[in-house]
Amino acid sequence: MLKVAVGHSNDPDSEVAVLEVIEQCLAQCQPDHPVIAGLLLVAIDFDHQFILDRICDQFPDIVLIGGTTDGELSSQLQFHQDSLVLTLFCSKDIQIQAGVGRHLSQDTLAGAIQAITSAKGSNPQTPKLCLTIAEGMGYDSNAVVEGLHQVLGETFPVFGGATADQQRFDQSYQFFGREVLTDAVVVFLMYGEVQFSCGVAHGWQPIGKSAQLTQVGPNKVVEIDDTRALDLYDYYLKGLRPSPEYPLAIFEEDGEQFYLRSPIGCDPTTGEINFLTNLPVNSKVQVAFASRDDVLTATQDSFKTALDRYPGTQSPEFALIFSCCTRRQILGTRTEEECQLISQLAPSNLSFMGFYTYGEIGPSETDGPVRLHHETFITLLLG
Amino acid sequence: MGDESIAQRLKELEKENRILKKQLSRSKADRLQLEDNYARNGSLLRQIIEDLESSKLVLEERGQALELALHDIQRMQGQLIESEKMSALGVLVAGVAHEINNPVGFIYGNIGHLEQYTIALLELTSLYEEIYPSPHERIEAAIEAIDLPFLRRDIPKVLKSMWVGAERILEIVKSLRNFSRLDEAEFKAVDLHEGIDSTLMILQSQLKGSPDRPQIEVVKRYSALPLVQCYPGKLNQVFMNILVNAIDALVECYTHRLKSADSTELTPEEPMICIETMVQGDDVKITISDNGDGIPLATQSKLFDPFFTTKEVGKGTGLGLSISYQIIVENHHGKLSCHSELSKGTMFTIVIPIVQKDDRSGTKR
Ligand SMILES: Nc1ncnc2c1ncn2[C@@H]1O[C@H](COP(=O)(O)OP(=O)(O)O)[C@@H](O)[C@H]1O
Ligand SMILES: [Mg+2]
Repeated sequence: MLKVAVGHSNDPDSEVAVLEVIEQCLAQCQPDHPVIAGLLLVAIDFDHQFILDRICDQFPDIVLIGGTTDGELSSQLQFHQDSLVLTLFCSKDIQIQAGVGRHLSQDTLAGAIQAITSAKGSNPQTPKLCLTIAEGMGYDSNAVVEGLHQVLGETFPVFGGATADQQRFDQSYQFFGREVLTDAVVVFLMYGEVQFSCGVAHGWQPIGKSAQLTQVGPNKVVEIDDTRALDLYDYYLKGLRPSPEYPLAIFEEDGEQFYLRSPIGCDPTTGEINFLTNLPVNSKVQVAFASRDDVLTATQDSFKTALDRYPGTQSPEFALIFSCCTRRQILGTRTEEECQLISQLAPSNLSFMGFYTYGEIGPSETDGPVRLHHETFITLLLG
Repeated sequence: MGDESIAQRLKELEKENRILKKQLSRSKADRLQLEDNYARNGSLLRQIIEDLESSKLVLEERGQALELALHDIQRMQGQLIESEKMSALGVLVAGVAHEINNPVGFIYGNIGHLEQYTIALLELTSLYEEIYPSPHERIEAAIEAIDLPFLRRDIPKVLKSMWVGAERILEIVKSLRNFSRLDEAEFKAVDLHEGIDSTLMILQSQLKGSPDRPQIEVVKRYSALPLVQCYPGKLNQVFMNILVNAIDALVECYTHRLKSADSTELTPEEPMICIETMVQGDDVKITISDNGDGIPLATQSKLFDPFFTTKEVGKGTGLGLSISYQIIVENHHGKLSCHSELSKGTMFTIVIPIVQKDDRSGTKR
């Protein structure tokens, strides 16, 4: 049986904040469910090293992973932008093993594979699922998922998010034990009697004219329809720079299925547009658009789907949320509503935690192969 | 309040202060981001709306093009039906003309002989009378029985009327052949007056008066015309269509005036068709006018539309003028127009080049 303890503080002072969350967690812990692991989500402006040390001092026997975010949410304090949230996983019959892969920008595949193999260690059992927190910038984030596929298989359940830095696109961090890392991926492999289900939705709709990616580069699109990539956006935005709220819908070969990729910048002189991943050359694309209502409808869809699919008779203990930073950006003051929707839909006493990410990892369309998403809301229910 | 609780309260205030400061520094960045997004949103949606509007226009244009295409198809279909009918009529007319032509030829050719023979016989009887002034009583009785003086007076008249009748038949046959002109699918230089006259000849019975209506008078004001390059059979069709319409209009006009109560007050006008021809620069101009009721302005613009008719079902097809228009404008590179005034009459004007352009360049070579 899985039990969780969730602590959440919005005090900008690292020392106070970490003390507060440890206090809250300790108050929720029960002696017959030993603390085995911790997941830590923190805003960019904290003293991360100090926080990790305090937690590890307090719980010397646990495995701890985490990272920086673009906003945190929990059942304790709902949504906050400069806060710290810690979840402790407590169980006798579930095992959690942590792993880390480094230097993703040098060799992403190898890093991802390293993370899984180090987490597995010598455990001969097959893991039930994988949670991951990966660097969000500076390499082709797609490739992390490819690496995970290689060791775990395409449909092995992997859920996670890419670390963020409040849209400065400068530097984000991943945590592994007492280590503050960048350019790394950290994972939990969960073993034993763990139950789970998930829901995946975004709410964006392709709008406007259809075009083709005719020339691409590493994490950028150079030409669309044989002219400067930026022209497609200029047509709609009249000189305003492309931004993540207007992602490209990338259509799968011969189909209406599409996934989204957010532009994070551009070079007006060359007309190239920058992304967080590589994009497949020759694919059909369309600029996509979502209103705040569309975004919130997707939140609801994602959460409801996960609830509907939750196996077994008991209700879930914990929900883990990965929501795209662009959703927060569009929602503005309505960002709280994502949290409120969860609280309304969730069975009472469901603890949850989540963060606004630079990329969401989970199955496509709720059950297909795992992939990297943008603009998406992923609900993972655990019990 | 104890020291401890004051310290506690202070701590809480400090914390609140920290949080507020942090939120303040955040809120401006967030607001800027939202404002940017708002600007992008506006721009995007405006463009999308513009695109939708222009695609709506494209759709409307396509709809109009389709309507035009449909219209064209209807027109073509109608013209096919009509020209099929006309060519069937042409074949019939040509057949009849050919069949009648030979027997009439015998009759016409033999009237001359018959005339000579009878004259010779009559002269012979005169000679007998001169030499035998008192004939045998049986001869006298026979002369009395056949009324020889009457025969002498009447035979030339009978022969004369035979001449007239046979000539008329010949003329009609010639007109029929001229009208159908099946053999001529190419441009031919012809005398247009001949074509008009043959058409009138065929319409003779309709121009004639009857107990219920007066005869329609045809006034011809022909100028000296050069031979005109045309498809003679097709042009005759045009003359026919316009003349039939004029006759229809005059008949309609007459019956309608007869019915109206104040018919007595109207100066009774002779129904009349006037055909005028003239040379106009490189063209010939033919006008065919009637003094019928005229055409209301609203329907004038529809005259040349296929299937436009004001006549009762079974009488009008609404194709006559649209076919005529095609023949004049497309086949002869000419002009066909209508000028009409209510209760005054209607005039159709045909203008065609004397020499067709292609042929002109051909003769230069
Ligand atoms: N001389 C005319 N006087 C009055 N109306 C005319 C005259 N000629 C044509 N029209 C009008 O034009 C219509 C179309 O003529 P036409 O194309 O020949 O078709 P139809 O004779 O079968 O009706 C006629 O129905 C009639 O209303
Ligand atoms: Mg007619």
